[in-house]
Amino acid sequence: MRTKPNLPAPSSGLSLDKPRMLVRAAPFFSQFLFFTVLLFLGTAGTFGCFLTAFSFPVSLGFLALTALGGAVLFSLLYLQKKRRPLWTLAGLLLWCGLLLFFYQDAFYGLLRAINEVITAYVEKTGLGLTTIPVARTTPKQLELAYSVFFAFLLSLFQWALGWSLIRQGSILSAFLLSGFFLAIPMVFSILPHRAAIALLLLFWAALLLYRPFLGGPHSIAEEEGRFSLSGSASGARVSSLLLLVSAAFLIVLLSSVFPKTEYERSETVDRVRSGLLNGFDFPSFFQGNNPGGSTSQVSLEFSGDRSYTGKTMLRVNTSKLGSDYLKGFAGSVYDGKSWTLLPEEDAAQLSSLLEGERVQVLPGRLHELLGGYSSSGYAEYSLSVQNVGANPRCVYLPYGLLPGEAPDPEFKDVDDAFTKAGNSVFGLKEYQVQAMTEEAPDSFYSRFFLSVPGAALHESHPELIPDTTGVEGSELESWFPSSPLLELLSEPVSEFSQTFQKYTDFVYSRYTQLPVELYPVLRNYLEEHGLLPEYFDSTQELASAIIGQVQSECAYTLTPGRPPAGRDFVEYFLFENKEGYCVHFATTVTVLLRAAGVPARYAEGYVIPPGYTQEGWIDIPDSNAHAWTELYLTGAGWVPIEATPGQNFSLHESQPELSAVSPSPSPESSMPSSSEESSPSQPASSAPSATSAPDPADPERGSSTPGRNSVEPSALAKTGSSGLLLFLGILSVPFVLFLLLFLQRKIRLSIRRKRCSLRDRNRAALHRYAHIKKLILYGNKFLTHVSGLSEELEELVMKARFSQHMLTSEELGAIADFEKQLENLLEERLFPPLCLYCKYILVLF
Amino acid sequence: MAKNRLEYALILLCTALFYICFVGYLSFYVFMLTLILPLFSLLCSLPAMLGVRAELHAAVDSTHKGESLPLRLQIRTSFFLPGGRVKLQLQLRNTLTGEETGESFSLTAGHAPVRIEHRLASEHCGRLIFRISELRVYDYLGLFSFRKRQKRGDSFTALCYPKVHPIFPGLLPSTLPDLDGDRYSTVRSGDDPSEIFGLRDYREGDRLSRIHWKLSEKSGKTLVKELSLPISTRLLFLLDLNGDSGELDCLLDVLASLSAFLAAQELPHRIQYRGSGGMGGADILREDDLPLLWKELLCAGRRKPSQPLLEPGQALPSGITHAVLLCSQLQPEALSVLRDAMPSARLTVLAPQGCLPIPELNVFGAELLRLDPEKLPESLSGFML
Repeated sequence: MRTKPNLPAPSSGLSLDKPRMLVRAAPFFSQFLFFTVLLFLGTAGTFGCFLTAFSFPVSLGFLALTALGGAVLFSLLYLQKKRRPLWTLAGLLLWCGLLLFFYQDAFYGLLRAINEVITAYVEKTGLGLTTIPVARTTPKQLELAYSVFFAFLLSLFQWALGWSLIRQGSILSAFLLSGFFLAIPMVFSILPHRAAIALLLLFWAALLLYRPFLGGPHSIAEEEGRFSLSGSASGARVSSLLLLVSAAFLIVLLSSVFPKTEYERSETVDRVRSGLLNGFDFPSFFQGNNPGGSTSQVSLEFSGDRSYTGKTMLRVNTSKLGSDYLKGFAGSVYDGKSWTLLPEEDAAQLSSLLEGERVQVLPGRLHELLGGYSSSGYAEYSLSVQNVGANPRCVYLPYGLLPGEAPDPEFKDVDDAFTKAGNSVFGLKEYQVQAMTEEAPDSFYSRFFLSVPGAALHESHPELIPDTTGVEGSELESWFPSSPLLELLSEPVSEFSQTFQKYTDFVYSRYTQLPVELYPVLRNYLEEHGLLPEYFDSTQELASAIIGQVQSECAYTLTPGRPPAGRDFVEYFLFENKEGYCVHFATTVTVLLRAAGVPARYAEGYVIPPGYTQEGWIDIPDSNAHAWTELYLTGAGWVPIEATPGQNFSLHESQPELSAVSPSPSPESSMPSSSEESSPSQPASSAPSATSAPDPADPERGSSTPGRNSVEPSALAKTGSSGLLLFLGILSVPFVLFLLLFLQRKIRLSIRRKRCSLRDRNRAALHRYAHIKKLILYGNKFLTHVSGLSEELEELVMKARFSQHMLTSEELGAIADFEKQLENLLEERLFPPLCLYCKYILVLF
Repeated sequence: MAKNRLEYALILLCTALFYICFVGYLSFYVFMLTLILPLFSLLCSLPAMLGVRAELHAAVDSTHKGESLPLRLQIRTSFFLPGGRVKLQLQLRNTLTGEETGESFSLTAGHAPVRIEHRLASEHCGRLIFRISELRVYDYLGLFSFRKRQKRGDSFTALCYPKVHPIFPGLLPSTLPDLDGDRYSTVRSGDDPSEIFGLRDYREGDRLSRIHWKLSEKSGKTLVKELSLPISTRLLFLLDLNGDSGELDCLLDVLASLSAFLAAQELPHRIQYRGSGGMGGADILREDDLPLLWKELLCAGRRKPSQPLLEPGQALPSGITHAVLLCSQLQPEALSVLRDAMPSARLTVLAPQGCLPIPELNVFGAELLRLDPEKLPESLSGFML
């Protein structure tokens, strides 16, 4: 038998009989006063909330008197023990009599009340509900009708509340009764008056505090040596009302300590609410392997066949015309089957050498410190993004972000590669940034000496300017100011230059790394095709040549198949398969550039297609997910270059007269989607320049107020009503489940009981036998061993099955006794979770 | 309490969800109220919790086997407000047999006392200790609790006496007191003039021959001599408090019956018993001596199997002519010690039915009588003391 550990098992020698309880109940008058106050409080709170929420014009005095009278009458009725049924019947007859007498007013009040509720719902939510057609009347008669109706409703409520509190001692019933009337307005955020809410809260607090001594009839419940005494009405006294006074004091004190006027809702709570309302976007959470959906690594070995549904992933609103790359991820390390982030030690080293500088806003910093390179080539614009279908932890940002005064907490930089959402749980669904486009040079040398500080040095210290006669462009790309020059610069520029130089050294050492076995293969390839840096004047020319070579050898397809297990991704694509899509081309060009000694990275995200002219929000479908290569130029930082054939995305376009373009061009259409959008300097395979020029026809189009990459919190336009509905919805699920479990158990037990008590005893025995078999089956499953039917019982079952004679009552009783024994055994021995499972799911007992 | 905490956690979760989902001051207020309510409940209920008292009472402190003993448990709080729930755990233990049982109560302590009446009964002899092993008080919400320690009134002790059967054994001459002996009672006076038991004032009716003239003259008042009572404890009952409850009951019943018979005949005899605390015993001269002995005997615990019944060289009374050993298991060592101490005494072993004879019985010339607990008088028919 299951016993609590600290209760010794009962022995046969010692015995204690069933205890008798002697309780001196509180005096009748004391109990009467206590329950009257409690009933009145509950009624005042409940109906106060209901009436004030919908602003029913009622006679408050009349209703208050009715409530008080009802509280008195029902307290008397339920407390007194003699002739209660008679008094109840008398009360019911009186109520029915009065209802008949005031039937018209009450019914009219009911109809008008329903209409009032419906009207309030319609006003709040805009639902298309219709009211009941009712004749209009004077305000005074309306007040009378409402008052009469609510008086009857109130008395019914008090009867139910009194029964649950005084007779049953059930706190839950009292909660549900009062809660129901509060839920009617609150479900659509129709708030009652503060005083009424306070009364109701006081009532609920009182119910919780009075629970220990609000028992029903005195009783002792026993369970395995444990006795529970309920019904200690000794606590229902006038003195206990002091607790009520204290609770009221607490309620008032709380509103003083946290006054409404100083209340400010926490942002964290708002974010959680937003996450709840938007469902946390679970499907997007697992979108890591789709292009642009990762924040930690891109696994190339799973880059097999691809298809698109056209589902909108992003919605963007940008003041920049032309295409734009929105980067969500950049891979720093290539290991033959994936792109991953920098190792921890490299990331730590990077962090220390950057000294707070952000590589993600490097172009902006260059512009800020050194001034504009080309005034005609510079434009600022704003970009708003709504993430509707992509991974919310990914943040898709354009190149050329403007540096802000301080890092935005909504974003989190990942090394020097990309940016992700600062909130790793809920992500970031909507954000706005400021960016710029600028025609920047390849080298820092050009940038520096064409800027204001550099130009000034030309005049003041011409001897410090290096002579670039005969120096190749690629050598100029690695130039940085020497110490004498640095001393002449302003402190911010000098510090930045030094940091930039250190970062450049880091980039050249890390972002030219390749797997050891791949390097010689790619180097040979480059040599065979004359794609070494010494053959070209600039890095960009080299990049263009590599891209052209790859594109000439490989074909674009969305169904290239997966690379074989263990094979290097690039090696398989470049030398064997020769078919792929943006991921293949971008990866291959990136590693070829690295093999040539040029720092390059793999990047992916979404592209805003070229040439759209519509204002407002445009939808970016999943087919606009894209991968490209990033090239490092000391004059501009990391710049995107297009490696995939047939793509004319560019940051360097200006096409103000372009016609409407499909916002989701299929990647298979290698030609531009509209002939009007052709950019003369942009053949499909050419490497675009690093930045885009602004629209000359509308130079102001791209400008925007300079400022930080501020993120304005999205206007969470959901009203409180949807929030409350959601809250109620979440709350109701477990209750509904429990209710269903409970009901199905009741039904199944009732069915079994009927079957087992059939007049045909043979059939009843067979039903019992079936249940016994089930009990034995689960008994043996969950316990060590459960004995089966004895031979005699088996014979009885056989007799019931095959014999023409009916079993006797005693024989059936023997089977029933065994069944009961098994049920008791299982109920006693099973572990509580299993017991609950057998009880509510299997309904074994 | 776990259930209450779970309920509170559920309520807190609901109000937290309400606070998150509902944008407004009301949701925040309700959430804060839910957070603060347990603390408020604890503060309000603390005086009542501290003032809770539980007491055990009984009308009598002794009973017999199978008879019930009424008990009353009273719980109240000294504070004028009622308290939260109170959980008591009661433990009933028979110290002689080691049996235990218990039960728990859960109720609300109010200013007016709650009384619970119980009847307890024991089928075996022994000392019954009924105590409140744990008293735990809870706050109104049932979330906090602590154990309440009490200094008084939380335990009650009663003795469950054996049943005295109508047993009339025959008496051998060696059992009768030896009036020529040199031992005298120290508690009672007699008629033997060879020893003066004591002196007392003269009372009307005293014989003049008893007046101590010398001392009376000296003291100035008439003093009367009390003569001594010669005793010769020829009979020894040695009880081994070992065995299961049924066997012990049988032995105790037999001892009680035989001793009561002898005491009624005013035949002095000695009873010794071996319990957990060692050897105890007393000389029984008359019936009044029995209650004290039984009190001590029933309070003694069972002899542990590792403890011997009689240790070699154990001091035993002299002049014993008949030693009756009551035990549930025969021990050759005990028989040997007895025989060494009383080489010429008669040895009888009274044991329950299940006890098997051993060869040493014949060696030491001991007689074994098996006892049927259901038919004790019949078992002892023909038994000669």
